[in-house]
Amino acid sequence: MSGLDLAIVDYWATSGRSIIHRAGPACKVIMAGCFVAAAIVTEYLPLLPVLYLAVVGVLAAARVPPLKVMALAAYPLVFVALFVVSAWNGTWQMPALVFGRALTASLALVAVLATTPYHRVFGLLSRVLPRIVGEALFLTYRSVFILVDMAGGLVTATRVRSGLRLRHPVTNLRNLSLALGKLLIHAMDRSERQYDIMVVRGYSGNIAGPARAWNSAATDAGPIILGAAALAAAIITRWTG
Amino acid sequence: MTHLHLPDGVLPFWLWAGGFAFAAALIALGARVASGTDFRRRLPVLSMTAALMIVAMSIPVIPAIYHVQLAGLAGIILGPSLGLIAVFIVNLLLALVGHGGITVVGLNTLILSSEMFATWALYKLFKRALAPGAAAGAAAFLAMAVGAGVMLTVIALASPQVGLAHLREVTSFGEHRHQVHAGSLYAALPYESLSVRRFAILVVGLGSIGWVLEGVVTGLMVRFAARVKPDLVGAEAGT
Repeated sequence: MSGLDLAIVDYWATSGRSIIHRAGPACKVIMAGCFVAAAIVTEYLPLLPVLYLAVVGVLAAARVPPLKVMALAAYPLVFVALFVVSAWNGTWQMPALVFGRALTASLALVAVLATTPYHRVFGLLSRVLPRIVGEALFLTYRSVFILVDMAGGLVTATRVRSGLRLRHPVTNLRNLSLALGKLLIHAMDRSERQYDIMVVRGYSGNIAGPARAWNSAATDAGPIILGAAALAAAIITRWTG
Repeated sequence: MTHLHLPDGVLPFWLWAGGFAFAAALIALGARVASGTDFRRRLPVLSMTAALMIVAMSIPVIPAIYHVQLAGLAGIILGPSLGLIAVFIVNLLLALVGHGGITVVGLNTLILSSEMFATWALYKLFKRALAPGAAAGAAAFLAMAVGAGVMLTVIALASPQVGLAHLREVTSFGEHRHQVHAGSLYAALPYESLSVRRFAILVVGLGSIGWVLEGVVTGLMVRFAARVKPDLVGAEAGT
């Protein structure tokens, strides 16, 4: 994951007009929660690809490129590979279970952020987070985009000065650290200006406005029914298999 | 890969739920302490530092599988209470884009916070005898080892080598019902066969290179900041 990935996810969320995009954030969070719960509850292996494909179907219905989201949500593979090597019991079932669980849960979460503008998701999360954590969450998200722009310029400038070279890891590390040091100073200067701007605009300790959690029954019912079905299938296969 | 984020579905319920509860209590405490300070003025600094951690993770260091995560730097700049909030926000945002599990946000926050807190404490100690850059570098390197130790502890708690079988029985919700054989469509629980020794060899073997990288990058960044903006890293001008 990178700041650029976050920018792409943000673009998908804000530019989409599908029925999934129009659904309220609460129903999509509930749907994702159900899929995560289903993935970690089930021990029945054929259910995991079904759950995964159901989320791919949601992404396709939302007209978000499923392959790109699947690639983005494949990060857990690194840790899971280490875990599988450490827990290998000689069966094919254990790796299948661990990979299936991690990838399904990861895809379900990315599906929420890829179809819901961030302020609606964070508005919902802010209801359960301490106020200052909720405000910091909003500002951090915005700050990532500011820093991505700054970092792009700094990395380009470092490359132009032959600063990033594969054959010279020590030089590369020193130049990268210097670029990150400059980024840190720019970021802190920017944060001071940001505070001044917030005060001028009347900031009184409340950034996160009230976000509407639900839309209409017509748009919100689908994700909830899908999530409930996934969880029910996981519970049934666990206790009756 | 200076730091690994635990994914969903590999740890038992009691462990990740316990991690969630413990992290939530710490964050509530951190938020309470932070709200007593000049939080409104510190909010943009906190947000920029958390954002810097996310952006830094996207820049590969040679060798390319490694990236820095700058939790130690967050501790140096923000201190423990705001640093804890920054670490939680980074983990939450990463989990929302599939980088680490949502059920293990609490455990991932505890692991990364241990690195942040250890760097903050060691930096304060080392700064008495060393220049800011060297102090930060040494502190970040040692803190990465602390973080790896916390992660290994978490993994060990999930493993059969540690005697917490009674907790598994209480929270198993019907696990172990299925007999796994070659043609079975059910799987044994992954942590039942987990070898902590094998996991430790992998994490320390691969991670130690990352610890060095994290230490070097953090040290050089703090050295630069100490020259340009000394108050940011608690250094005296001219150091």
